[in-house]
Amino acid sequence: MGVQEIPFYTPFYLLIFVLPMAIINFKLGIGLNKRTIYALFRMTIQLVLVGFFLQYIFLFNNLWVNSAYVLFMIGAAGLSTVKTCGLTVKKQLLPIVIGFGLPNLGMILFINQFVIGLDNIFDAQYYIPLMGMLLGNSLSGNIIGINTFYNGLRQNERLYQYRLALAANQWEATLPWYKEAVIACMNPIIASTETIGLVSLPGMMTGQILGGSMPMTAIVYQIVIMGAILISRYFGIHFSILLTRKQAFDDYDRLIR
Amino acid sequence: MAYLEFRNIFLNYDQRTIFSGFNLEIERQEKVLLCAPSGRGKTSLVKMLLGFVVPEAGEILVDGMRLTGKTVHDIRRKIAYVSQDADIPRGIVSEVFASVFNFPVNRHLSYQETVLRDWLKTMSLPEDTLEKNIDALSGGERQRLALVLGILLDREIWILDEITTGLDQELKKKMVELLLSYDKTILVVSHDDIYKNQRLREVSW
Repeated sequence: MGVQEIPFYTPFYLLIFVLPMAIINFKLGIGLNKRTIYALFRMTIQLVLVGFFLQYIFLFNNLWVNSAYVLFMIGAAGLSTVKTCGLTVKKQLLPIVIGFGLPNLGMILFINQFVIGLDNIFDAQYYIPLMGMLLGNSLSGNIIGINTFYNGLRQNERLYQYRLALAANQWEATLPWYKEAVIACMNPIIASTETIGLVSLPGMMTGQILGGSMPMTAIVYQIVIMGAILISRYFGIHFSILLTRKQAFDDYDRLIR
Repeated sequence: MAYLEFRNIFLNYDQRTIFSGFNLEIERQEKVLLCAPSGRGKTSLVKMLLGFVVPEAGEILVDGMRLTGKTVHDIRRKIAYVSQDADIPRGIVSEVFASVFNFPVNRHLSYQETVLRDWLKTMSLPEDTLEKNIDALSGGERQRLALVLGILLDREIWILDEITTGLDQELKKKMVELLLSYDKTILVVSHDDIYKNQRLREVSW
């Protein structure tokens, strides 16, 4: 059973409901109209472009083209992390990109090779969408974790200095904020892993079922991806902090970012 | 050569000149009271010694070592820094102490909790303080714990930065007399009159 194709014009029907939203926002002075409309517009353009692009990538299905696209995704996610966390792009982009690119890349290749058992582990059909899911999750986790670490240190400068004086070692002095960062990064994903399927049907599963897969097939994929997300997110935050912190402190262990 | 030396220090903070060409020499086991008026950079001065504040120009020497990014860890290892009560690490008291003495630089001290119990008595702290959370203690209690921590670290130089705030008069006197009885190089930052007539060298600028 294939999926029912959606004609290009019917998604616009949804705009019928955006109109009352806009009116309510306007009447109540809720300043969301501009951003909502911009977000919907941007989302549509972005996805259409990605769609066209992916069509071609799937057509070629070449190791190097696929990997280039994956690297592009990692780079974009890295840039977004660095910007959101207020880190210096020049100094910290590469550490971030490596820090969470590597665990995700390793994870995806591991899944393709050993869990799914693909003949071609760089097959666009698996490689790209699964990588997208992993990266998307690592991205939000990384942002939470990195912010927790560096903001925690900044806001508790006196506590941090006191610990430095007690320990004379940057690693031990920063350890409370390091732990906090890992916990903050992992908390949301652990919570959603616990409740998945009860509260909402996960996106990938929904997509697979709509695409014609049997629910059990979709479920196994979902289990794999949930595990993979949790694991790569965990190692991603460790690597990201470990690699960025090399540049983030001066010789006197003072935070410079 | 003096044990601690600030040589021709220049420091700006928040676009304000704090030190320009400041010099200070302190001998081994000397006890110094830094009592300059507020805003003159007393805390900045001791923070420079710890490398938390780095001067624009000038040299700091500790026991013949010039303070740089390379030597800062060796120098911090010589200093017990006790500041205001709020800065002590968070957690259950006994765990906080255990973790501090578990840092590699402090492991040689072979710390035992019984020693801490004795100190609680000396400092007039109830014995169940050990099981309490640092956040649940009063400022004065935290301050006394911070002092015990500083003493137990057994480092050569003590920096006592405004440590008498939150202590009552009697306790203050007891603490100050106790601390000054040690053969350590001691730098006190304070406005408190309690330090007067304790044979401290008073330094102001």
